[in-house]
Amino acid sequence: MSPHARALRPAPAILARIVGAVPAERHDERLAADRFTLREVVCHVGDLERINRDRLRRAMEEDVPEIPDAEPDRLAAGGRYGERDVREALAEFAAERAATLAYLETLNEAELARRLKKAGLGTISAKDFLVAVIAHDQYHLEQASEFLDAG
Amino acid sequence: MNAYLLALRHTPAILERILDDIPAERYGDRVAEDRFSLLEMVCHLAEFEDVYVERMRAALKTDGVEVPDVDEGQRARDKKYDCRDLHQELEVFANRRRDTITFLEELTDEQLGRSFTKEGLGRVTIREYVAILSGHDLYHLDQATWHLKSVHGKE
Repeated sequence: MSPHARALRPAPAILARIVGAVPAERHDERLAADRFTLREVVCHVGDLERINRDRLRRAMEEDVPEIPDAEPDRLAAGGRYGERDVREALAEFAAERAATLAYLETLNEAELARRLKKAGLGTISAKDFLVAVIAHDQYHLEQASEFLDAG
Repeated sequence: MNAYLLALRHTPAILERILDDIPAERYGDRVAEDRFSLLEMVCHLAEFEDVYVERMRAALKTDGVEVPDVDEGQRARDKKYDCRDLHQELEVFANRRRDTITFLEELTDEQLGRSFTKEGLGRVTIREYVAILSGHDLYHLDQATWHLKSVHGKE
């Protein structure tokens, strides 16, 4: 397993355990007006995982594809995050991440060097895009962990 | 480089919040006999942060340089990790991680491409090593949250 795949593997279990340690009545609490609730975080990472895998596929199939922003707030509204079951959303994130890891196993070093262009990141290799996904995991794990000590 | 820095930045805060949610009497617990306890894990993260930066500094000085492996378990016994204070070690880890990020922020693209060679890893660039360190962070966050599961009884 590559270092990038190894770094991508633990996030679903970590997030599930943090969510499991937060009382269910706090899953819809918003710690700041412009931040996701815990339920929305879980739905968001699952949705974005599918989108990120598609972005990787485009980098393999197209010559430096231009990747549009995912518009997380629009996804949240359209996906009715507030009405979704947290446990099901956690399972969906785990399944999507497993699918990403399986896809990564099919790619070789030359393919991981293929590039994509994305606002905020510039033109980067697929491998560097994976680091951005790891950073995104860490960003939302940090956000989720706020609920551990905010009660 | 932003994504590389962001992948490392949050770990100390996440770890602190997880540990604050676990009773102090559980800090000596282990996930398995051959794994670090929570206290040992935090000491390990604090101490090895400097080891990791030294490896990257060595790569900057001499591209491809061979760096020594360090026996983590032996280091834990030699430095008596089990007698240390977890919260002090957590602070050391957070401070050293800030220094690591400052160090990485100053590197150019060319410098990120320099490498070192280590037994078990082969030749790795600084850029690849940051991905490895992110994976190492997440490996230990996974370990720490296992204790959350044992305290709260569910995932």
